[in-house]
Amino acid sequence: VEPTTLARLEAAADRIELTELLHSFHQAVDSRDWQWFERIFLPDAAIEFVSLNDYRIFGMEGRHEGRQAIIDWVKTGVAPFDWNGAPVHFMANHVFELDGDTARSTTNLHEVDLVSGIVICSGLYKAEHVRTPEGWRIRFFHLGMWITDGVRQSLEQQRPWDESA
Amino acid sequence: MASGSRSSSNDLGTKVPEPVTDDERVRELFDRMRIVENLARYHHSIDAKEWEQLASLFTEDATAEYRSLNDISLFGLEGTYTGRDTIIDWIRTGQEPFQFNGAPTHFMTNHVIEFSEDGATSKSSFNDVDLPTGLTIGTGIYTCTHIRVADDWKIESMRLEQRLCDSVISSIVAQRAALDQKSTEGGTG
Repeated sequence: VEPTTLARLEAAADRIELTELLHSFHQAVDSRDWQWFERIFLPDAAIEFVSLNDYRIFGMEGRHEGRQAIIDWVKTGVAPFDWNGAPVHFMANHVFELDGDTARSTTNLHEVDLVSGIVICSGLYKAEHVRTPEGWRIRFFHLGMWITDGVRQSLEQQRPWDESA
Repeated sequence: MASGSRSSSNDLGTKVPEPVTDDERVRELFDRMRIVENLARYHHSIDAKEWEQLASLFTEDATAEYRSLNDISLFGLEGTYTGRDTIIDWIRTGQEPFQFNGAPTHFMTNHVIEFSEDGATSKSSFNDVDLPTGLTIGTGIYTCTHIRVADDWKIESMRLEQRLCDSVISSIVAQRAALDQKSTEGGTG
């Protein structure tokens, strides 16, 4: 059955709102605005980080449950880097599966090392969203990242870490 | 809630305003798309060196501001520029050394937009790529205000806060120097 015009418009609105929700994730991180970041997630949200190429970075791997745990995790990840507000995370290629008051998204990410100018990683984000009276929120966020070989030396100089940890 | 009572909070991206009627929700939907597309046109025009199209995106009395986020100054391009023509001259001067036959080097994403009584404010992340080395030149945040003009939107103010990568400076300086040398030899018109 062909969707009605109104149903199409609502699906388009959902896509735009979800796109901004995803963009807010990295606008908040890059500007270190943790209050903004917090509002993006449901209180019992979970986040999961996996390496796509067996390269451990900053002990970021694993699953973290609850909004506060997610914020602590992100803060730990960005702690070595102070770019005075310059962004390093760039999202693109969003696709969505809408299902009433829930939705799933897939997003590509690339991240840039501002010291060397080299691409740090190619990332694939898969998220689950819930519609609330305040708008769409994230309830689950999965990050898969391939860290490039070329950036390792520059990153290690900025923050040595124990890969065996 | 009347149509004029939209949130005008400066708290970018914290919530999506909630228009009451379907008509208003649809209008805002299209406004968001139009504003994002104008921001895309901005860099498409620059990469294609289509200066007339670039000018058409701004109001006549628009302002542009460039600020460095680290201590590297960018060839004296910092400051505030007032008026559409001044802005276009400023961008042309900045882009002059880079001739890549239409290949894009500016990438903008992560847009968030907030509407107010007067128009809209957008915040976008951008990065540009140095095609000789393949390295990132720098990254920046664009904060723009937009006003509705007839059926379209125009940019009335644009602020770019940019940080250049430490490593790429020498490549950029070399390209700028090559241009300067060419001008000295009378090679450009």
